[in-house]
Amino acid sequence: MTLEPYEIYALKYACRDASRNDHLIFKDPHDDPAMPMDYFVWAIVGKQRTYVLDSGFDRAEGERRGRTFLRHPADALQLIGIESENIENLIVSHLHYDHIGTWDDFPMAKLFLQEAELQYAVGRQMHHRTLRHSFTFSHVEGVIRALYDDRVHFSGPSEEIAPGLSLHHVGGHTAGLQVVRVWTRRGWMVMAVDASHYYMNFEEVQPYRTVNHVGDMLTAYGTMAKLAASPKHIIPGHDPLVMQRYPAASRETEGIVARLDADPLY
Amino acid sequence: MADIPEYEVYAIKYGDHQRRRQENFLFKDPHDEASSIDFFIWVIQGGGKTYVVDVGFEQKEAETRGRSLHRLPSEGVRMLGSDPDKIEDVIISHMHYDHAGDLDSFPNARFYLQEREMAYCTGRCMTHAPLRHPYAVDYVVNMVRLVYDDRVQYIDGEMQIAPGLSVHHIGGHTDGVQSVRVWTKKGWLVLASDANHFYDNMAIPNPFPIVYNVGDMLDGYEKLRALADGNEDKVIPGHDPQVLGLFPAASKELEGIAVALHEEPIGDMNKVWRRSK
Repeated sequence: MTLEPYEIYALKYACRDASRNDHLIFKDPHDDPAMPMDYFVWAIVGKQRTYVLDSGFDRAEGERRGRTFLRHPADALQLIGIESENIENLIVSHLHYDHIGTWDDFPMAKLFLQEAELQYAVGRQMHHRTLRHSFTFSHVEGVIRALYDDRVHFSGPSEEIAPGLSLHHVGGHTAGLQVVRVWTRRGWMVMAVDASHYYMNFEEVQPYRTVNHVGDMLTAYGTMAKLAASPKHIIPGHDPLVMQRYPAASRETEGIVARLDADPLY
Repeated sequence: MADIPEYEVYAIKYGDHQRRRQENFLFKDPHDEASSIDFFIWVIQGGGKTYVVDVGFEQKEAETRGRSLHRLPSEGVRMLGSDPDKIEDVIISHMHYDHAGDLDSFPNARFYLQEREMAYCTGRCMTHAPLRHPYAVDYVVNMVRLVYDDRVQYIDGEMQIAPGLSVHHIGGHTDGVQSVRVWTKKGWLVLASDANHFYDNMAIPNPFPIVYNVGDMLDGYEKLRALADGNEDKVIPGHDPQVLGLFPAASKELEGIAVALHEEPIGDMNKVWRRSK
């Protein structure tokens, strides 16, 4: 294998308090422990180029939705030397408000997303408030303007966009959700993003409550297991455990940036 | 059809553009005289309601593209005696700039659009400049805004909007273009919109050159005839300047602006359809 490994960083930019029954489809009325949520963007850094995975949301959006905003995603990226305005490749896992909110901080970037995701975000199911709630119109508008500006790449159902880096449509949570498979020093890793918000979603087969297609969400757990070298190579999208299970990128970024291609601490 | 109203149907011209006849055909046409493309919207009245088909473009887009805008499409609706503020149902044949621009002039309307059209104009084909060109991104995002305001009724194929009034997916010109069929005193009338631009496109047939799928466009010409009960005279093309001369004016004041399509034609239909008498 002559693939160049990528480094992967998780950057925490917001959080919120919640409990277990806020998150799961199948509730346990007798057991509802605290289960806070973290919000991340990720950087996938190769020798040749850097990919940013998702763009989070800004302070105004966070406050509107009652989230604890910690830092602007572009400011978090600067902590590891990444200038968002120079980024040429922004992978967009899906179009929920907490994943594409600061799209305008990436004016040079090509957006990699699934056609099915944009069609979901502008399509008939947005009639349903339950499903529409997680989208913000101005974010969707931004993506359409990028499309007309020739800055959108609609990924295939399973597409290698660079050696050692591929995108895989899984759906479930949203119709066009994609996960990212990355070659690293410790083997093939999978960025689940919202295909598994928490470790427990895929480990205990406990589907997340915000869902478009439950069958596809369950199928995605198996798809990710096949794509990753081991369950320890799957990174959930919102689990505060990620910050505990991986070392900080540096002393200065303790509690903000975790280095995911490092050996896990669990 | 006792319970079905006999609708009145009007074509309103709101703009035009001078060009060469060659520009109207996919395959080279032996004639290349000067030609006009007219821009229309349509108004359907009956059953106590008024329906609008398409909303044209507004001044900014007219300037961008060098088109003549004679009146805002919504002003045309007003000239026919309907208040755009009170219109509740607007059918959008497709999302091209000359059909989906003046949305804001209908603040209380619900918009009927094929979901496939929105998928097309926000989908992978928009990475191709020639297919993207007839769309205006401002109009597209305006419609998406209406989706988020829950004012868009998406259609998958065909749908009855009222008794005797239905929309039908045709495709071809764009992936989601739809036509309208409406019951009138002379039978079924079909507003092709851009499923057929000019009489000659369908009569020869020689497809219009702005096309996503030629096979679907040619199939579409047959579908339009079938929807009109086999009578092509009742298929109204979307851009043909001859329409204004073939049907009586909606009123003396609207001479040259609006015609009554539900009335018997006053022009020679054999000629426009290239039929020997």
